[in-house]
Amino acid sequence: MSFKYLVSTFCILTSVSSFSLEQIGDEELSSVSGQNGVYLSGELDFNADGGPLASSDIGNTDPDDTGAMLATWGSCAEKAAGDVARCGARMAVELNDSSGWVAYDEIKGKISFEGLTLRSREITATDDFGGDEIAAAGMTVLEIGMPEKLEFENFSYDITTSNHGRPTDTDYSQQTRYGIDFNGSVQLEGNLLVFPTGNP
Amino acid sequence: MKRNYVFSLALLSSISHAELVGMDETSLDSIDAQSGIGINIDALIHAGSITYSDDNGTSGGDLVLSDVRVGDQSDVANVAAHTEHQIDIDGNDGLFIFSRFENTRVQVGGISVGNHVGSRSFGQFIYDFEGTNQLNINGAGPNGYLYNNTLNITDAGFQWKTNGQTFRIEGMTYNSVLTDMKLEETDIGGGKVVVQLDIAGFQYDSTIASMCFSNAACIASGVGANSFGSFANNYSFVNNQIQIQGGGREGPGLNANMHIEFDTTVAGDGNFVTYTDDASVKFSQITGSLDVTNFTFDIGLAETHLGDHIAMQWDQVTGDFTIGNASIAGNSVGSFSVQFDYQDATHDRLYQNKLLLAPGVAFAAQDFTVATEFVEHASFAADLTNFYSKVSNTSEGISAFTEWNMTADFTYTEDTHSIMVDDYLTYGSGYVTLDLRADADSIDASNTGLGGSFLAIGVRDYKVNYSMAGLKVGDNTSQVQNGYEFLGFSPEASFTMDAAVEIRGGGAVDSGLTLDGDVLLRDANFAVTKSDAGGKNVGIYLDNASYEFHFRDVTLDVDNGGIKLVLGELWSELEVGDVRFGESTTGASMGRLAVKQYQQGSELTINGGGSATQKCMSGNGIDATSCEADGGYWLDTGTEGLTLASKQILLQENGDKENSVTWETNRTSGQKDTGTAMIINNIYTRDGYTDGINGDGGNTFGVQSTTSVDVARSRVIKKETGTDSNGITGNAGDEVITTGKGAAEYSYVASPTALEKANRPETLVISNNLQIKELNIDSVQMQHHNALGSPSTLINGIKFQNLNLNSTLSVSPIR
Repeated sequence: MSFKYLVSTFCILTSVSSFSLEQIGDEELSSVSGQNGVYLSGELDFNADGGPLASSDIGNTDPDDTGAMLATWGSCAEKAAGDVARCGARMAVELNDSSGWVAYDEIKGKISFEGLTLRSREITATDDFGGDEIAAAGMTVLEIGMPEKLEFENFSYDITTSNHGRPTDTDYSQQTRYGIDFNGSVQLEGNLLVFPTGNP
Repeated sequence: MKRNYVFSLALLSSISHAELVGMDETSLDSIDAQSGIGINIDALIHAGSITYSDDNGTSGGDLVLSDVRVGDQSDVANVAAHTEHQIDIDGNDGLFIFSRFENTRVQVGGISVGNHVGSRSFGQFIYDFEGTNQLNINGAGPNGYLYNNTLNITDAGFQWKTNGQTFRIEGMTYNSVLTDMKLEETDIGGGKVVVQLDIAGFQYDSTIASMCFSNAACIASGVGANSFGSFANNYSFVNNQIQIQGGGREGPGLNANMHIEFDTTVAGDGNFVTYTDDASVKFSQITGSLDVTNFTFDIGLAETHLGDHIAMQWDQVTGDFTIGNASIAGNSVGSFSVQFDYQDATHDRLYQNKLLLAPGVAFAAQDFTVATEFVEHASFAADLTNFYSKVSNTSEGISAFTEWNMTADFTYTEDTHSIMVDDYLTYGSGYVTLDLRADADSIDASNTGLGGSFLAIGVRDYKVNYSMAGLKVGDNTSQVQNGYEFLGFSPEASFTMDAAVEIRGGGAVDSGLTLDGDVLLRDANFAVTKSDAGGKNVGIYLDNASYEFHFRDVTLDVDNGGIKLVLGELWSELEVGDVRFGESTTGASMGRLAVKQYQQGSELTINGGGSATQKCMSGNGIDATSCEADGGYWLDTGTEGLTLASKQILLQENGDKENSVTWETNRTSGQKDTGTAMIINNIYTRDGYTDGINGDGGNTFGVQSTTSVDVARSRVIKKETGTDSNGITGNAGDEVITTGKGAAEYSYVASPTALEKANRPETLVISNNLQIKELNIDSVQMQHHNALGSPSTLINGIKFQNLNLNSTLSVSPIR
């Protein structure tokens, strides 16, 4: 399940044009005369202790007007204490003008990676694209080398639907369809190639 | 010896010829000799004009200084300046002259060149000063003279006036010591004899209390503050040499070679310069040298837009400079160094290093709305026309044409780690005009009632080309890599710039700068990323591009938070005809891209000190030991570095001003609006709550980003078993352990020891915190060329909320 949604994210990022996955070894890399490009390692940490919306903000309403909960947004410590409803990031999309919103909600957690490479590269006839390399020879692509090590640490989000974009809007209500929680590591291989096709 | 001295003067004057016209030395009121060694002079001098000419009938022309006066500061035309001189001649040590100057003003009513004399001027120049000078002249066997001089100037001021407005420098002090300057004639071969100055030592320190554009005294703080701030510097030079001979680039003129070298033995801050607003920016421990070959000074004729002009040209200028320590508000940024070489070169044509200066304002009163280069930029053409309509063909000012070709390497070092911009090349040419105007003539209507002055900078047809091989982390022997993409700058670009910019004194708080401007980059090509593909570069390029941007009320201040730019109102449009994959102008296109921006109240702050990161990457642990035990690696970026904090307040669409992104494909002949476009429409920020219902619904937070740039050691793991691009062999999963900074000075180690881990490769480390309270996209639309202005809505809204993203990225080359 987790990998499926990861792939879907990559598809969104790369759907601007075309892409292909291929394996390339160091020997092939060494035959490429240009050795620019970058090897990247790093981490992304979403809302480690909440976001910039604070429980003390004007307009940060009590989500249900009952109980001990005081505000919609706040720190993750406040959420753990039951004082606020949420501390993660949220991306909501309104697909139709008259209907509700679908959201990636309560996005939190850490993703770290080692060995992501990025470079622009010219395809040659000696590459292996299952025969496509002949037609593609001479074409320049943006090559995204998949990281050897991709680790998730409490990376989580919910898929929700709601009647408003903002959780603080009057009469806001939402239904959580399902939640995702990643922990562990993924090993990826191959390269993602992005290049233009068709009539520009 | 006396004969040599006279001959030197004769040589200097033979370079061209000089004449005094209308000399009116009103009085040498009193010359009192005291025991033969003391002289008091009260001088009131007026020269109607002083002319320098290198006109030989076929080339050259006249440089005319008009209405030159020397007198007392209180009334230079009618009150004499008082000076006192004591003269002593010592049989061993030579001639001594000790002088004291009181409240003296030197004023030049106008400076003009060639056919501009009588119609256009560079403006009026005034220099006020008082102080003392001690000069010692002795013989310097076997030939020449030896000069030593100590000058102390206090309470000095400078004014440049054009069109009734004034730029002034106030509260200047200047102290210098010239040590053993030898003046002699030297035969340099080829039948050439030069006047040569060998300067064993020269040290000076100076301060400026304030600078401003104002007809009245500068105001440093409080209401109406208009000062830039204050400056201080201290420089010491050794082993300088200047050679001067007659003969310009064409016919008569001046010709010089120079060597200038900083003294590296100065203790403490060494050579330094400091700018102070509410806090200081300081460059200290400055070292380096400069060599100039065949610098020429001529009067040139009939340049297309400048007419007759002063022409300065040089065959080569090479230099290397290091700022040992740069600090902002007391926080160390690290050190910077540059090695550069200005030398003529041929690209699409020959580019010569030259600077041409002409009086007046070229392009004054021109109508740019009919210019063919602005057909697709009618709004900007109107802006530029308005800017130059405020001056006329007889206005005072400075017009310049520059042409250059320069190569350089830039190095930034922090916490002993270095990153280099390698093989930087730039060449180009263009025009710039400078003049002072009253606020009533501002391009920003909100400035017209301020009642002050500003510097108007016009830029025309300024063609800029630059490129670089890439970055090197380590030193000049290290492997070239990308990574500039993450720092937001292009590795290769060419464009033509036109601009109208205004600079005022005074920042958001007290002293500082305030800027307004309209700028257009056209005929542009920007590389987003590129790689060397063997004799050619391939990458992603923004081709057939233009970038038009406008800014109003941008303020620049330095306070304890760093260098702070408050961006006022900013709107821009980037139009890219083709986003190309491949070579810069012929690669395959993925279509047209247009990006519009509209912001108000955005900010950018630059400060010293990096992220000071000490944390476990790819694992968990509170220190290096526990981190390694968990499979991670410990990242320590040190305390130096550079941090940039920005806040971007994105406004909702307002007429043509908006934040949007348009991608168009399937066009006819690549023409705009002939295909199908996807439009990400009306992007704006809010503070996160419903407008006017549950809260203020304000827009003050925007998109806030804090980015730190460091160089630190990180773990780099081999991805595939085999021999890499540098010929080094290893297995997948091995670590890169360096033995030096060179491109191939490393090995792959399966299980590095603690000692080996200390030699992990140096990498560029970019740390960022991104915070958004609310970012909205009104809609995502699809637009067909048959229904321009009536797009179909694909998505009715996107709302990002409450994002707080910390990221750390280490960047190293692909091996």
